[in-house]
Amino acid sequence: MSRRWRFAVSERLYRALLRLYPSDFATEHREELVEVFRDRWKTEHDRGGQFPTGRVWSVLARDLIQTVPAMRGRPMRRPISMHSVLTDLVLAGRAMRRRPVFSFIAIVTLALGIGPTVALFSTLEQLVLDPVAAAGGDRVVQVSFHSEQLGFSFQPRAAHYEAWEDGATSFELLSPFAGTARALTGTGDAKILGVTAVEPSMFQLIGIELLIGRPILEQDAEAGATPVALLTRSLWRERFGGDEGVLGQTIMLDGVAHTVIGVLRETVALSSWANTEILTAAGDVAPLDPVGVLGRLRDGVSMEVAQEELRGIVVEPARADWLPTVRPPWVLAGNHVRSLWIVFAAVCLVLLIAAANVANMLIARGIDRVGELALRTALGASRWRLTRMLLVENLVLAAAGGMLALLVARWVQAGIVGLAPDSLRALNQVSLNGVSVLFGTAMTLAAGIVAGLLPAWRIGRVGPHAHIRSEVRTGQSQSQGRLRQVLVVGEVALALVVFAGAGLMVRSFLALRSTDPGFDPRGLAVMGIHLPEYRYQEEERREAFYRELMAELQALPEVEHVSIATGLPTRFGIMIATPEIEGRAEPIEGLGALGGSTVGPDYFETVGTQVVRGRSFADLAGSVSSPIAVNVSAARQLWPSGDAVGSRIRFGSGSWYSVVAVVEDIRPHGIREGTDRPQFYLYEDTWHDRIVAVAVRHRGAFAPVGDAMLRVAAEIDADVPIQAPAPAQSLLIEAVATERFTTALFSVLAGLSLVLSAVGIYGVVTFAVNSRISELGVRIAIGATATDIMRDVLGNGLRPVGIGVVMGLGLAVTLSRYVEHLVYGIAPSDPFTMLVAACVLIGVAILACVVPARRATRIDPVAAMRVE
Amino acid sequence: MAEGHLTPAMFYILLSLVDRDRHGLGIVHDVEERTGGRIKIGPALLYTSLRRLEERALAEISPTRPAQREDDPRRKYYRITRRGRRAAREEAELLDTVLAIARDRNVLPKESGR
Repeated sequence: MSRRWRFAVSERLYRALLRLYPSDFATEHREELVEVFRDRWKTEHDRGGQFPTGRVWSVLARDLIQTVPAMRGRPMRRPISMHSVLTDLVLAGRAMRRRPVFSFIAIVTLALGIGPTVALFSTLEQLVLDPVAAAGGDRVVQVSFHSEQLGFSFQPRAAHYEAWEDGATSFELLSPFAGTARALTGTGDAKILGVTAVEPSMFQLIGIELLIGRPILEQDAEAGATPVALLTRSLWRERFGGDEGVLGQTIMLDGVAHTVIGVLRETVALSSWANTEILTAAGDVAPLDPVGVLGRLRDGVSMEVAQEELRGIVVEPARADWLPTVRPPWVLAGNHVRSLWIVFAAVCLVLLIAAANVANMLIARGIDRVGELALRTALGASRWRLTRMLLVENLVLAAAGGMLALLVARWVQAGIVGLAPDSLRALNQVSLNGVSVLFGTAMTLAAGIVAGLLPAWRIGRVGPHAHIRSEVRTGQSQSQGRLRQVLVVGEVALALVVFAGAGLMVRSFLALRSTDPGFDPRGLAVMGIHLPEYRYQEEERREAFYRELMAELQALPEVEHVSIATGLPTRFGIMIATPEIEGRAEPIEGLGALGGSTVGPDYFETVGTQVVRGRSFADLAGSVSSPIAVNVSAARQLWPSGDAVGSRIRFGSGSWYSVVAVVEDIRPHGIREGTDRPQFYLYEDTWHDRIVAVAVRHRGAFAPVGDAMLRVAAEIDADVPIQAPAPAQSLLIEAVATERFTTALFSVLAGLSLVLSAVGIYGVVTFAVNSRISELGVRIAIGATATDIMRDVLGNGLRPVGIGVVMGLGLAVTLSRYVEHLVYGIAPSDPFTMLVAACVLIGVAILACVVPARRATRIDPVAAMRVE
Repeated sequence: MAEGHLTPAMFYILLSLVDRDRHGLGIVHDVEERTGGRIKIGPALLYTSLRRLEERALAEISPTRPAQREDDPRRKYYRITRRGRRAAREEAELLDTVLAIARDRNVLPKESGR
């Protein structure tokens, strides 16, 4: 989080806190107080060191604690000394030890509520609120092209960048970069790495920290300079064992020698698509075209103004529908962010449930302690003193819960990162940071105060007479019992919302998994090939490599079909050209982005996609020149009234293709948006591309085939990096990875909220039974049966649950429209899901009530009377 | 009339006003500097203490403004009163006694030559 942002928030918070003082004091001294606050801020931040903001707030917090009560209460004879705070702490510690089970449950409950909230918050904070830890803070932006019509962003060309750099005045600095994949050879197995080329100015633009070595300098970008490389820490560890002697060593990237000049402290995330494992200098070896562009806005220039200025600069090649767009850097796909926010909202609900639970327990304990507090009052403790004691007790509990919560948060975050789909790769860089710890502390304090103040206030009203009049106890517990029932109602309602949400996610996920993907993943293995440019400059060499690879793979005994393609099912290339159909004059509008792949002759047989009409490429045997296959959706949208097969189509002003087949749709992203996207398959039998995918249809298990595929490729050329063979099921899993991620998170939260609300219900019912022991004893004595008692206790316990379920259902249906985009195959307010959620909650509630209810039936009337 | 007790914050503030009139921020800086950063007076403690010093006529808002160039018209300058000086001296003497006891009991090292 940037310092400016922290400052603004802190100052606002401090100004808000000034309201705690009597209004005459606050009005008279407000500006002076704020001035001292600002001065303190500046001193602490200029001094350096860890957590300056935390230091500022520790001074402020002490100041508030010292002065607010004094100003608010009677004029104090003595200020609160450290000594009396210590007394409170000692008392709190004693109180915790006296009720170990209570303390344990309260601490665990708080930790389970706060931990996940902190984890999610820090994830969101780093991904959404503060994507680039930039030296320039909130003025760093990215510039790209965006097409509203296609809903895609495109990278600018070098010409655009140069024109912007010359013409635009909105930016202090613009810096280009380019991400590519290059083959690292000469240190262990050949490997494809994400390499990002930058100009030296990138080091001024964003904070790139080095572990060892030096940054990229102007001289490295000059023509004829020795190529240099900076490694990420993980690569350095993996390939060089973390040896500092790596400086000055030479590594081979696509056959070009690069001198290692340093190691990065963290991965540099310049964009979501540039996966940086090595940073190089832009120059002869790494030309920047197309480029990613990051820039820093001038002071006072907004993103909108900068964007308008760029849109006024016309550069060829220009396209009317591609507009320069200025955005915060590194924007994740909208759906991911929205999913994360929704999960975050669910986490907040769980936190509320936890807080309600703790409040519940504290109220119950408060009632138990009426005698003790009355005694303290009688001995001269003021109401303020008692409140403070209770508050400190609760804060100590909350602090313990908070510490445990940080542990929980680390696990949760590890879980999130482990579950996250590749498209959220950025999550790998997310960690718990100072801000999230601060957030956790704030949550803890809030939980402690909210969960503690209410009972403290209620107990504060207890007069010294309370311990004399024993009936006060029952009177108190009745009104507080009502409050606790209200808390249970709220808890159940919130738990139902979370549970229903999880139900919707699970059902959508199952629906997604059961849709026909349009190909047959069983017995299909895939791998990626990346021919390094330096070894395969000539087309003939590339052709020869692929010819040999196909022949060798075909010769394997387990293999039935083999095909090369530029895209695999679910992973398509995107074509941005407008299609034109022979003999039809009117242009085809509104198709959006088209999916396209170039595939080999046996492709459809290999991946198991059905040919609906026409002939498969395999049956052509060269009889048609430039054949093309289209999917059902393309056929329906482009040839609404006729047969696609036999027609001719071209893209832009390219050459004509003859449509030979209509094949079934492949759901490219496993999700609703892709189901009717037109897809085209161009035919190719001689391959020159440097980067291709290989699909193999095989018999038997995957493992031996996978090994054989690797072996075959290595025998032809061991220096060709291979993306390890994988069963095609992994493509499907990858396609629904986001959904799986959200579903898993939601399910965990639902389980958590169920457990928490069960604990809450159990606590309330147990307490109700305990406070009614004598009454129930009398009823048993005059002949009530076990069934009567059971019915009574269950009925009382389940009433708030029933109300909560009804309210929760209403809430869940109301909120369901916010998850509409995450739901697939069912309505967001799906009645079945809601019903199941309600039943599960009621079932859990009954379980939570039965234990105390059974205990109630076994009350010994004689013993019960004696209690009175 | 009983002078009553001086809180540590009030005492520090009086001490910092002894040599010259200061505004609020100036007091904070002076106290922090003199104590090597060990005493940090929070904003509200500063102004509540100043108020109580005013109420007990130990300090007052200075009618004259310092001639320094850093004079800021928005700021209120405080000056110590005669009573304030006396109170500060009494407090210091008391502390001196306390220190003597502490030295005597070896809580503080005895200064040589004393």
